[in-house]
Amino acid sequence: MAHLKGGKVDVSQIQAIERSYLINLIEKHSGSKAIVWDSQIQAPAGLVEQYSVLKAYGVVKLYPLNNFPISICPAKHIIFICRPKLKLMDDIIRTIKTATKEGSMERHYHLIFLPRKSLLCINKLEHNGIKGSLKTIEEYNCHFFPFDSDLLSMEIPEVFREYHLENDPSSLYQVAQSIYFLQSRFGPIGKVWGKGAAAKQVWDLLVRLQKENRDTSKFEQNSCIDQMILIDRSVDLISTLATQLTYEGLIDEIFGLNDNTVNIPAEKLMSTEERHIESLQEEKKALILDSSDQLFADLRDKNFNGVGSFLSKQAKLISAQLEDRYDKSVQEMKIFVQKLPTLMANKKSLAQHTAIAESIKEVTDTYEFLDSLQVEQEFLNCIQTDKANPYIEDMITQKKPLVKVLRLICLQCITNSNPYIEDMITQKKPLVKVLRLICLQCITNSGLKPKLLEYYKREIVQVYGLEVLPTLTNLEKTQSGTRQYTVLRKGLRLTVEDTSEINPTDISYVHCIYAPLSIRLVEHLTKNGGWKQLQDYLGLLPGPTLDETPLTSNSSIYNNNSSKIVLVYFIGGCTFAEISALRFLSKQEDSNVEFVIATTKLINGNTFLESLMDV
Amino acid sequence: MRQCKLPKSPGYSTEQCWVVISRDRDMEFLVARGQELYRLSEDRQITLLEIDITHKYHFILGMAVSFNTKHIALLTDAGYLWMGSSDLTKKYCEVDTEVCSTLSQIVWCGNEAVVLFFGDKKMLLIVGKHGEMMSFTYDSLVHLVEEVDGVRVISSSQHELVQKVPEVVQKIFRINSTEPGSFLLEASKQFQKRSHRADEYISLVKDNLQVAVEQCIKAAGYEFDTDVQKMLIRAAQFGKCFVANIDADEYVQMCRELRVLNTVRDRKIGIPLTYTQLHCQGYKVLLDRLVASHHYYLAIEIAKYLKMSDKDGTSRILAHWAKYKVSKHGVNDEILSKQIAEKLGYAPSISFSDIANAAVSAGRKTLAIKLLEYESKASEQVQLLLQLEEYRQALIKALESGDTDQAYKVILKSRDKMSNIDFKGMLQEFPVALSLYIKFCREYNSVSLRDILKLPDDHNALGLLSVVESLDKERRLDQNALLWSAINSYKAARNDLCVSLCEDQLKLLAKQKSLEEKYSTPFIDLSVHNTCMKLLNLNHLKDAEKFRTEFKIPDRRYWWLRIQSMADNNSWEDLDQFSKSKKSPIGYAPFVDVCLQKLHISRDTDIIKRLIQSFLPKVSEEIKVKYYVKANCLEDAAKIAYEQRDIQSLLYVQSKCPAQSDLSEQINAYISQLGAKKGTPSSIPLFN
Repeated sequence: MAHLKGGKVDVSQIQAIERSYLINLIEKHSGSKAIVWDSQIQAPAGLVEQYSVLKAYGVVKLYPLNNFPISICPAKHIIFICRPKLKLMDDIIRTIKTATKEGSMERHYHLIFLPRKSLLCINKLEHNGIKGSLKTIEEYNCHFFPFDSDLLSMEIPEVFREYHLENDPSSLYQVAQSIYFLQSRFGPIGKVWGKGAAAKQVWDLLVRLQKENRDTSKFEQNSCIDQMILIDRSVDLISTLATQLTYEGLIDEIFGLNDNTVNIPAEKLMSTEERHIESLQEEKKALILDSSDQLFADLRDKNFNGVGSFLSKQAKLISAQLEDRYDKSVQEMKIFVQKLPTLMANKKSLAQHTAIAESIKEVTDTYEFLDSLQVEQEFLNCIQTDKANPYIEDMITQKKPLVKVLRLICLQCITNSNPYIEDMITQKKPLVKVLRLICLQCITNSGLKPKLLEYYKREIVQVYGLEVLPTLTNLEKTQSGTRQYTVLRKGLRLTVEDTSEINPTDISYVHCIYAPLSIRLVEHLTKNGGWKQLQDYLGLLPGPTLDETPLTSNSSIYNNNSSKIVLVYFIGGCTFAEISALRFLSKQEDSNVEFVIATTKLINGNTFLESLMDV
Repeated sequence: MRQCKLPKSPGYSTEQCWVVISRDRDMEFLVARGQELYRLSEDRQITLLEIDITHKYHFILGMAVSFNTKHIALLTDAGYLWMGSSDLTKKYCEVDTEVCSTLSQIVWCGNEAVVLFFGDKKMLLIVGKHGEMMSFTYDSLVHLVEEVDGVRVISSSQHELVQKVPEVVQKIFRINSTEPGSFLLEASKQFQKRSHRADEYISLVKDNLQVAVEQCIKAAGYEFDTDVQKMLIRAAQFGKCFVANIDADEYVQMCRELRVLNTVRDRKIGIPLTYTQLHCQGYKVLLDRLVASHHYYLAIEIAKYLKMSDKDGTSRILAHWAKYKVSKHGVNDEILSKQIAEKLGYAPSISFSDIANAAVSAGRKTLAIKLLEYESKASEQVQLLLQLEEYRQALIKALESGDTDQAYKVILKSRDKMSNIDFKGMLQEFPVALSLYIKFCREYNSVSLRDILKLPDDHNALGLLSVVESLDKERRLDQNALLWSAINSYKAARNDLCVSLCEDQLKLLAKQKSLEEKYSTPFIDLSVHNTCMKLLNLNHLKDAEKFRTEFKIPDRRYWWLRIQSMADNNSWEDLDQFSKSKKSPIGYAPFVDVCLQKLHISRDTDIIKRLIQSFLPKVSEEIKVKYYVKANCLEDAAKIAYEQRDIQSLLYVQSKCPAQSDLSEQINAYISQLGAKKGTPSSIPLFN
């Protein structure tokens, strides 16, 4: 896993620690072991340790918790590893109860919570009389899953929902702990910025944690991370809703990119000859995509319009290299042969990415994709955002997937500022009335005219049924506060025309015309060393602004010579397009910033909205 | 601490004595009964042991095991002392003590000698491992205390220490010693007398000066007399000057420790420790002993002087001090808590909850709560506050910490302990706690959820809860009642939209029921849209029309439904008729769309193709080109684009046709006719 190294903040170090934690937890029990995973974390856990390594420690098999055939499991020790969620406890209780009923063989059960124990879960086990059957209950302090040399994710999809919808701060505590963990490894952080209520609360909790543990843990003396920027997802929902148009972003939008793995229909990956031979045995093929594949590392952050030409250039290069073998001396031939395996690997990867790019193009060429993109870009450019959009109406009528419909409506809500309330204030209408409307907006929570929103809602319920009412209510709750998109769009240059998609000069290339608001804020910070000039605009975004310089004994924080390391932490998730935009920023000539990106979950518009829906 | 059960000891004789021999993990007992000696081991075995005692005896008076458990000593009633290895296989000596008296105590002095005290003669006898003997007579009775490096002899007025003279001390002070340390000491003495002989002595040990210095330093540690200590330290210091690059740490450390030892040996403190004992027990134990006798100030000074960490030193002592203070009544709570906080500050590793706990045991609850304010660990605060039944305070602390596990702990505990009204009142005060509890109730599907949602008067949430319940298939019978309750809740929330949505749902249910009866096919669980669709698909056009007006389905959508259902039913003639019936409110693009959808799966390909051709010209102008392209009529599309004088569209059509085809050339011609520059990139569509 060499691709994790290379950054100044060594992600492979985090992986090594988490590995050793896991091995320690497993090694303890002698005899054959089966690990039963909460299915939500089994895949990301693969980023920490491979199954082949676990085998060496007596693990005979891995199972998903929701489908665990305990009666045929031969292992002596059954180790459950799961998130502290009550629903999962039901599965564990059921599993153990069935096994006890059958009573075939003696087994030892162990439960490991990731990342920490929960009182409610343990209570539940106790009420069901299962706690006694569990020989050990432990914690696996794994805060992050390492995705790449500059990317860490907690892989908790509910963070935004929990905090902004359910008013439950549990996950923020976990975020604070994860930052504390990073600091204990990579030294104290010298400067902290943030925006949004969640950012502020995380910071307060972090300060508390540091105070609580002042003496038990000593931080590394050198600070590797110079600055940290905490971004509450609620500050910028637009960037999650806009369709990502980078290579990696589109892979995620179309096929779903989870834990660096994408499932592509197998027939797309095979050449015509192979198709005959293998006769389509498997329907989908899992591919691992990370920067250990150099070609993918080059491609991932590109706008998709630049991918085709890049691939054909690479193809020419490789075939030229392969052609080169004729008319050679023996010596030269020897060198050529040595290079051959790499060449063949490159060729294979090229074929793979060409196939993926072709399957993406199939989708992006469809009218459906293009129409939806057009509507989206109209919204982002503030063109007719306050009327019922015929395209959305058509989508509802044709009963397209609800997520897609909601994604566009949300985008329309956010990008549209509400002129009503502004007018009322300027006309000095009675305060009570204004307040009432603002409250109403907090309930309906959108910039859309109430009538239009009602129209949408009524239409949605008529078509999709009353079952969607909880989801609609959830969405209303999350979009609180007035957002002045029109003002922000101008002030922060959120839409940029005429930028080249192949040789971009601005981060807006990741959505073709729209620059992610979150990354604009980061860009401004790293270029100007503060948000002073943005005061007016920051005020329009929800939540407090954070600007802290924690006291540290370390003096060498502002080191202008070498590049600065900035940790950007997205509380509530971030998209691949945002990551690409950050990478783009640090690659600019005048930049001396290196970004490390941490997030609670890698998301796109669909997965984000799904986390807010009630099914 | 370990407990183990031993076998019952054999024999009936009452005269007996016993010792414990513990080696590492296992333990065994030696029990003497009369003449016999048994070994009782942990694995419940009893062995009769044979000892090689030459002189006849009736029973064993006393036994003692040495500090390192390797040696054992037995005294028989014949007055003989037998010494040997503790496994009794090796005999060191057997000496006649020549005392026929009651034995009070027998203990080992280090590992080299045994000390016996005979009560009625008040005689102390020291016997070496090799049989050498020494006796002392006392005025009063004494008690012997075994130490690691000797024996304390405590009488009513005196405290003595019997100890083998440490080797290094012997080396220096033995008469005619030729050890380097001895010479160095002499040299130092001469130097202080300002005598030239100092130089002679120094030159005698020139090569061994380092050893000499070390010996003097070490010897100083074993001395009790401060003058002798001084003399030796001075000698070490003197010798140090002659050695280049000598490491002074040992010297400095010894001076420090001697200072500490001398201080605690002072009468007022009364802890006569030897150097060895100090090191065996460690600094921490010394501090504990000082703290136990309330010498807090001295303990802190010593901790600082010995440069101990805060955790083992100052903080710990302060914590003890605070606990002592707390247990003593008389001082006002307010003042005392402030006093303690001031002294302890926010010193690291001080557990204020420990101190608070002490206050609780002293029955000072208010003081404890005040002290907890200073505790930095929320879990500790919460734990103790819960114990004190201060639920509100505990909840505040738990919420501040951000650790929701703590918050749940308080919430669940207080739910069980507080009255329902108080509990609800408390939750209402803390919105986060309330949300957490609501979430908990949701997870447990608890009946109290409805109850608790009433607290913040969250009628919207109550309404939603009813709606969700009404959708539960298992509660179908209550469906209407639940929807009514939802309507009432939404009315209270003035949520007109939701009221009407629920009313619609009621209406829909009723309608569906009647439709089911009428057509004996299931309609339940379909949305308004799908119900209408089903009616159309079943060709109940009149019902569909009625249904549509009843539920105010907009024209646009109804047309869509009609078109879609006709296409689904392959009723192409009807579709044609319908398109001509009146002007379509949704344009003719959807007509083309459904046809294209079915073109390749339907058998009526020809009819559909004909229909497409008839619909295409009716498509509105702005999307006409696109639809011609969609239907793959590229030539027409190009023509229309040309007529519309739209270069962008022309380029778009061109991108769809094969390169170097006739059409492509034709389009180029169109473009040049329209007088545009070639090759301007199109902004939308994006992917060409």
